This record gives sequence, C-alpha cells and structure tokens, in this order.
Amino acid sequence: MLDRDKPLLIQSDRTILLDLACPDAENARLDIIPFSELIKSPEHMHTYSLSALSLWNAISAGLSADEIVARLKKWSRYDIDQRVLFFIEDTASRYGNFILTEDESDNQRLLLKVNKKLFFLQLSSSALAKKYLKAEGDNTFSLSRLERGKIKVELIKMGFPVDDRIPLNKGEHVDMNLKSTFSARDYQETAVNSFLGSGERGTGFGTIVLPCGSGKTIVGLLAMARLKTRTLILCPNVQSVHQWMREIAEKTDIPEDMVGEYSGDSKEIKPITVSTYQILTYRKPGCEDYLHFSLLRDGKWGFIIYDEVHMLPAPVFRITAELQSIYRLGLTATLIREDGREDEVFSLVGPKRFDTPWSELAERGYIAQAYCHEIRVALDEDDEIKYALASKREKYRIASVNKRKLNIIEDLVKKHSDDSILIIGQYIEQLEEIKKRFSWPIVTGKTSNKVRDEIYQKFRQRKIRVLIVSKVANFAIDLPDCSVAIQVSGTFGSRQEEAQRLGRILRPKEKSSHFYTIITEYSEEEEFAMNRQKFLSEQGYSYTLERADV
Amino acid sequence: MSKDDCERLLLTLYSENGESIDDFYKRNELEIASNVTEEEAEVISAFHLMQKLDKNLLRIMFPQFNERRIENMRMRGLFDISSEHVASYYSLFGKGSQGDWSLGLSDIVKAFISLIESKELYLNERRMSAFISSKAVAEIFPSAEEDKLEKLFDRLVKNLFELEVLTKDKRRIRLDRKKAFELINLDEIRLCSYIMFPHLDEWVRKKSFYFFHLVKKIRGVKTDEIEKYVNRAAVISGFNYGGIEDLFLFCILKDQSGITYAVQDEKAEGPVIISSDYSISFTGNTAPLISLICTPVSIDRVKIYQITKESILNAFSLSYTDDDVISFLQSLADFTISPTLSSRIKIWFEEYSRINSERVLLLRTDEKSAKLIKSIPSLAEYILEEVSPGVFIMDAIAEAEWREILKSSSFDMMSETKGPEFNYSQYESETSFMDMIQYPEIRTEREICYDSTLRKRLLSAICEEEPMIHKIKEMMVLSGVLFSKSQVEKKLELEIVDAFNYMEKHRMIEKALKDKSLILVVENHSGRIAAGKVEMLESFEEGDHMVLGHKVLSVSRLYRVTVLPACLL
Repeated sequence: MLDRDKPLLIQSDRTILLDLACPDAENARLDIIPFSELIKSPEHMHTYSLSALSLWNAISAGLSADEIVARLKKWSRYDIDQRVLFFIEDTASRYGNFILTEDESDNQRLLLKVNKKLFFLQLSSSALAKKYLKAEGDNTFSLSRLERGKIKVELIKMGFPVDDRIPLNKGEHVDMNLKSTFSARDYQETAVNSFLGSGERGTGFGTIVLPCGSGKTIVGLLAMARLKTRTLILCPNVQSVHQWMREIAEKTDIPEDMVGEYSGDSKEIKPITVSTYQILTYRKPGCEDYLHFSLLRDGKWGFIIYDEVHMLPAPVFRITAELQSIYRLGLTATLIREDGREDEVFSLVGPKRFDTPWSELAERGYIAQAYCHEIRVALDEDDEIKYALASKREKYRIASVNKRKLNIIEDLVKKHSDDSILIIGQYIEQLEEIKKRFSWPIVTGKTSNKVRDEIYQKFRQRKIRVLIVSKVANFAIDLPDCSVAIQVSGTFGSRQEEAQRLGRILRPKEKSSHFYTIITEYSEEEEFAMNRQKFLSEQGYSYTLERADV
Repeated sequence: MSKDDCERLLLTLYSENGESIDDFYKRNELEIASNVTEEEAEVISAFHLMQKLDKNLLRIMFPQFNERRIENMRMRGLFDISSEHVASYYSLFGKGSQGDWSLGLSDIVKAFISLIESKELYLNERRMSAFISSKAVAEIFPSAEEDKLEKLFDRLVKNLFELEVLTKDKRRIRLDRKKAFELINLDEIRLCSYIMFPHLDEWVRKKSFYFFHLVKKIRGVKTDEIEKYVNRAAVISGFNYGGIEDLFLFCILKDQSGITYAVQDEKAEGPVIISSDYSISFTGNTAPLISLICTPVSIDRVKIYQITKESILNAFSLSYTDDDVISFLQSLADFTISPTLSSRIKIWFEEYSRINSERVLLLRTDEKSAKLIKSIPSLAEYILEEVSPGVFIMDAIAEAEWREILKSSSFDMMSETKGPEFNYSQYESETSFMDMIQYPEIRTEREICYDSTLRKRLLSAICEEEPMIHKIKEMMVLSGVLFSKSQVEKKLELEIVDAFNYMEKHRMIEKALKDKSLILVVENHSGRIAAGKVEMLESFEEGDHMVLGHKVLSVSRLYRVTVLPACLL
C-alpha cells in the first residue's frame, strides 16, 4: 500500500529516509528522533538509521517496541519490510533481560540479574564472565563496581543491553543558577530536557550533538544549573578551558573562587573544575601510570562534561568506564571518529540524546548562514613536473603547499576587507611562508598558551583582523566575529576537521560567513577535498567551485 | 455433432431476421461469455494467446479437457467470441494481487554492472570472485538473501561473459561499456531473455520474449502449483525455459509465504532527489544512464546511487559531454540540482578532456610517393595530418576506403597494415540486440465475471410442459448451447411422435436417416433420452432396429421420438 503524502521511506537495511517535501516531515522527524540516529541531512532527504543501540536507548527511556512500530507505520509511505519489524521486536525483547542493581550487602559490588536461563548459560560460558563475573545462584552474577562500564560495553557487543537500575549518584550539592539576564534558546532547553528527562531511570547520561557555534557550552551550563552538583569539565585544549571559565563567569552566579582550572599551567581543584584531556592522559616517558587520573577518579564529582567528546582519548575511555554512577554529558558537533569508536562513546558516556540538522539552525538564525567555496589553482610549471614525478604521499604535500595559493589568499583578504579572517593550514612551513609574506600573526602548537590567549583576545577585539592558525585552532576556539575562514591545506580527507574549521565561523552574526578552501586542481588534493567536504554536503552545505586566474 | 449443425440449430431456434451466425454470436457475445466456466475461460485465453486452435497443446496445458470437451467448446462458438470479453491473463496466470515490492532482475543487473565499472581497473578472476561474495556488495542489496545473491552473481558474471559484455585478457577482466549500456537499456522482457539465455537463435529468442511476457503476468498463485502456470507460458510461447529454479534465482518470480508472484519492474513514480552530497535517491525503475554515471549504494525500495568521479568518467568515455550529463540529471530531478554538482561535473569533464587518445594509422612512404598521395583529391579527407615529409596520420576507421583509393591509384602492391587488429564497435550497423516484437495482448482482468449460478437459474427457468422438450432444453443448457433466459423461455414447437403412432415414428427415423443434418432424439419408457444421427434402419425378425449414434435401438421400444437440427448434446 502506498501513501505518497507520507514522509518516511523505510528500507530493509533499517535506514529511514525522510522526504522533506512532505508536509508532515517535521512531525515525523520528531516522532522518530527518540529511537533513531540522524546520519545525514542534505537539503531534500534526511537519512536516519535504526540500530540496536538506538532502540535500546529509546526503550530504556520508556518507549515500547509497539509504540516504535506504530510511529513508523503512521508515517511510512510503503508497507514496512517484515525484517525491519522483526528486528525492532527482537531487539526490544532483549532489553530487560539483564538488570544491574546494587549489592546491598557489599557496597563495592553490584549484582547482574539475568531473566532468561538461556542467556544466563550463554553468559556463564563467555570469556567476560570468567574474567569479571562471579555467579551467585542460577540467575545472578556479582561484579566489582569498578567494572560496571566495561561489563555494559561488552554485554552490548554481545547483543545483551543492560538495564542499569542503579540510580546516579548526584554528588555534593553546589548551589548555582543561571543569571537572570541570560536566557537559553528553545533547542538548547530541549537538548537539556532530552538529556535529563524528569530524572527517571535511564536519563542523566548521554551525548548532545549540535553544530559549531550553536551554543553547546550553554547546554552544559543549563545542565549544571539543573543538577547543582560538583562538576568536572574536560576540554581539548587550554583555550577551551578558559572559554568555559569565561562563560561560567558571564552566565552563571557561581563565585569565581568556586571555579578552578586544572591544566599544565594551574592545578586547582574546585567544586567546578575545568581541565583538559591532555593533562589527564599525561604520563612521564617510560612510565605506565597516568599521573592525573586521580582528578577524575577521586574528585567526588556528581557531573562530568566531556567537551568535544569525539576527541575522547582512548585512555579516558577506560577510566570513564569506571564512572558510570555519575551524571555525564558529551558535547560535540561532529560525532565522527576516524577510529570508529563512536559506539563506545555512546556506551560509556551515553547515547545520543539530541541532534539537529545544521541547516535547520541556520534557517532559524541560530548559526550563521555560511557559504562554502572551493577555489582551484594550478601548479606552476616547476611544481607540475615535481608533482608528476613524486610519490603519492609527496604529491599531496606538493599540491597542498602550492605557492600560488598565497596569491589567492591575498585576493581574498582584499575582497573581505571588512571581515575578520582566519587562515587555517596543515603545514607549518606554509603558514610561516604566509606570515613572512603578509606579516600577519600566527598561532601554532609552539605558541604558548599565554600568547595564544592574548592573540585570540586581540582578534576578538578586532585589533587583529587576519590571523594565521595551524590545526590547534581546528576546534573549540570561540571567535564570535570571525566571518571568513580560508583553508589552505587540510589533514588528508578528515571530514571532522573540515566541519570543525567551518565551525569557527558559524557563530551567529549580522553578516553571512564564507569558508574558502583552496586546492590545487588536477591533484591528489582534489580527491581528499571532496571527501572532506562530504560531511558538510551531508548537512546541506554546497560549495561553489571557482577557478583562480593567477 | 458438427459445428455447422449447432449453428443451424441456434439460427433455427433463436436467430432474428435471417442474421448470420457471426451476427448471432456478436449479438449474444456478452451472454455467451458469461456462460463460460472458469476452466473454459482459461482455455479460451490460451487459445487467444496462441492465436490458433491447437487441441494437442491445449490438452497439454489443460489435461482435464479431453478432445470432446474442446470440440464442444468449439461448437458452441466459444473460440469465435472476441477475446475482449472472455480472455484474460487473470484466468491463465493467477488472480491474486501484485504482491509486495520485491527486488527485480532489471535493478540488480543495472546496479551490478555499475559496480563492476567502479571496480574494473582492479578486476581479475580472483578479485571478481571475492567481489561478488563480499559483504559490501551484499549490503547494497539488503532485501536479498546473501547466499542466493552470490549464486545469482555467479550466474550473472558467467552470462555477461557469454554476452561479451565482460571479456578477459591475460591480466584482467574488462567491461565493454558500449555493450553494457546497450544491455541495460533493454526493456525488462528483453533483459530477462538475454541475461538468462545469452545464446539463442533468432526465432527461439522471439519465443523467449513471449515467454517472459507471459511469465510476468503471474500473480498470486500457490508456489506448489507454480510449475503449472509457468508451463502454460512455455506451451503458449513455444519456449523451453529449462528449470523453474532459475526463474526464482534470477528474481523473475518471488515466493512470499507460499504464494508466488512475478516480480514486476516498477514504473518510475516518486520524486528523484539529487542531493548536494552527490547522492541520487528514487523509487521505481532505475533509468539506465543512472547506473552508468553513478555507483549504487543501496538497491532497495528506494534506490540510492552516488555520483563519483569514476562513475562520471564512464559517461564521458561513451561520448557524453558534461552538458549531456547535467541535462540528463536535471531532467530526472524533481528539484534544481545543486550548482556544486553541476560545477563539479564540468570540472571533471575538463580534466577528462585534457588528454585523449584515438586510434589512427601511420602511413610511411618516400617523398615522391608522398607528393603523389597528396595530389589525389579523394584521399584528402582520410589524411588527418602530415607529421613530416612522407609520414601521414590516417583515419584508422576508414582504412578500407583509402586503401582502395591507393590501390586503384598506383599502390596496388601496398602491404597489409602492421600492428594489432582494431576492433571497432562504434559504427556497427547492427546492434546485437533485436527489436521488440508484437505479441497478442488480452485483458489482465476478465471483464465479465463468470456467473456460476447462471446455469441453475436457466434450468429453473425451463417451463416446457412437454417432458421431452423440457429434457431437451435441460440438456442444451447443461451443454452451454443455451446461455440466456430468453432462449430458455422461448417456446419450442417441435413435432413429437409418441409410442402409439408406429408409422410416424418410422417415418421420422427414415427422415433422419436420409438427412444427415438432422438428429433424432428418442425417449424410452423409463424416461431416458438418447440423441444422435441415425446411421442405419433395418428390419429384422425381431422387429425394426436402428443404429442411433453407437446404440442399437428397437423402434418398437421407443416411447417418444422427435427430430431436431444437430445440436451439442
């Protein structure tokens, strides 16, 4: 049976396509968000996916399989493939067979009850059970509290979702509120509501995905204000730490002395502490121990925020597995990991609770309207010959550091004479070359944190109009008035990097933003550029393609 | 009884104003059609599709119909009724609904060829084998069973080799893009035929088209009985299709919970969406050029293809320009295509056009001969360039023409061209695939529903007082000769002689003996009726006896006798 007005097309591989041309597309989208994941959102057709994880998370939040099926049937244009229906019912039926509770007789241990004998037998004979579980009777295992996260991850991999009924430990109360002069946007409130729910079981941990510039920090602050507990915020770099601290000071009533920085420069542990992934994963050469893990483990935190959670380093995964009893929030714009460990982010930090198409926020003015341009420039004759004779890897570098790109930069900077401009690149020599020619300031990995902060501050104040940055500025640097970014080279085909770099210019402002990527035509760089652009095109961004005359 | 006798009876009893039998059938066509049983409708449908009355073939298809029954139908004019009212595919090939969507051969072949194109540079036998059994390929067809898909691909590859769409040299497997494109441009019937049966001679090929045309009509029949229906298609078309398993393997037929349907190629229906991430998604049939210029991502209810640089290159190599491709995409898309995509295609075309190669021939000669060659006007069009004195680049395709010119000038000792043989497919005058043939069409649904209670109604409408006439009418209804109430209700005035008038009985028997267009209907004292032609009338010691049909009857024992024109009894 076919109903052309219905917006969902459900494939047998459990992909859901949402036809935006249908009048009910938005209603359908709201209905399916709780149990599906947004994969991509180009302009006419969005793609969602049903996975075991997305279904289990929906069920843990109170949705039933029947309700899920009913919602799909309500909006589906065609009859739903039986395999999809079977998958939903089968997957849903697995939830609730493994229940994790506290062991009242031993507060260092937990109990895992298994409702079906067959599953109990299966688990008993697994390597996981031999290593971590101790059978107590014919349907219960006992495990160490520290292994909670690990067990949950491994059981999910085995196809056994765990109903974790241990209430989250709220931790020490910290009184904090948002300032009355500040009000959050509707989608920020919705994101926090999705994360916290009304405090029922199965909420209070998760990931929120929002475009760059849309105010993820605000979402974190909103959650903090609701939870009012000791909070640790982990960031990718010191600049982000300072940014968070500024935001906390500007938008909340938390006294300054209750907010501490724990980084290479400072070791304060306060009720609200902001730190970096690097410091946590620092260890001396030749030493196995992470010197600062105790910050995470022993800080009696009630809430942990993982900023740019897509960057969560592998060692932090491990320790996060131990921190299952506290509220935890992951924030990111691009949940793409080149190591494919998104699933572990979902399992350990928590499932995706909120996601929204970039295009929607841009339409509503919450992020800047951005125009992407690809400018193609030829190599000069000498470089052409070098390129033709070079190895594949070397070809990429030759193309990336094409001297003619500098002329393009000059033209673009002249064209945008009223704009604040970031010039971003991969190769330090190239960036130094640009600096040498134009005398613009530069921030690289070698620039000290203090100097970086000063430069960024001057940039914000428009005392510096053009700033050259290496990939240190790929993410988490808040430069609100920056409206032009010129990318001269990138890390091969990193989609995440492209999206994050675009993110530098997406803070809403009165004028539109422009993102230029300069590539060498007919070169390896083209291929990688197309891959890099993939994520943004999936968000609905198109690129104008221009050829430079040099 | 002969058809002529039947027609005479009908005309005698029921015709109007001297109308002919054809007019009679035309006038009563609807009623005749409604008086046909379901089984008879199947036979009539098969007859119309075969376009001839081949009783042997009909009996093969319908074993429950012996020759007598078929003849009975013929005499009732059932093979004279226009197919419009009676014949339908529905009778012959199933009455169910069309079945849920199912992956069809056409979409599979197009996507598969597209995948081979994307891998072509790297394909040898080992890689081909790994490729067709890979998970990545199976994921592109999520609704297909994996092991069945692998078997299908094995066969597809084998048959594509036979069609020379794929060829093999020492190092790798090559795809003949032109042939591949011709193949995927075929309509679904021809595609099924060529893919499943790469080598058939011309006449058998046409039969195969008809076979698939008929098989595609199968709807909602029990899987246990599917062979019966497919065999009908085979007998009607005259095509030997091999085994039924292949029809399932090649996704011509699909079993859904014990009911089999023919997989129907979809017409394009929903929007074609070309997104800024270079993906194309649509429902309905895959337009052939899409599988040429894109790579399949998912072939399911919604087909999703991805435009890539490599896939677009295929189109350029078949002489499509960037504008051709962009126009094609725009003609498909429901929304204006992204300027990024158009620009990207133009850039790719520029890159493609930066360098190209073509086959030419090098002609070397001495200076003197070179001057002579240049002075021959008819050679000028074949000389592409003189690269140096005595060295010419010549048009390779027209080699035969300029050779002839040179030979007829003064170069009759010119040697054969040295180097590899060229194999041009570009200007072949005949395509290797044949044109569509016409085959008879009948309705999909039967227009007139067979009324199974009609006969009962007709029987109950008989109101003859005379028992013999009542019985005669009864027999005519049951034989289907009488098919409407007005015919049944019409009073029949027949001359009936009863037992007490022996001489009259004898006279009637003699009349029937002499005039073979008449039949005798007799009733004995227990009410049993016999009818037939009188073959013989003889006097014996025991009395007068006659041979009626194959029966020997004593005249004195006949209770009632009447004479009728021949009828279907």
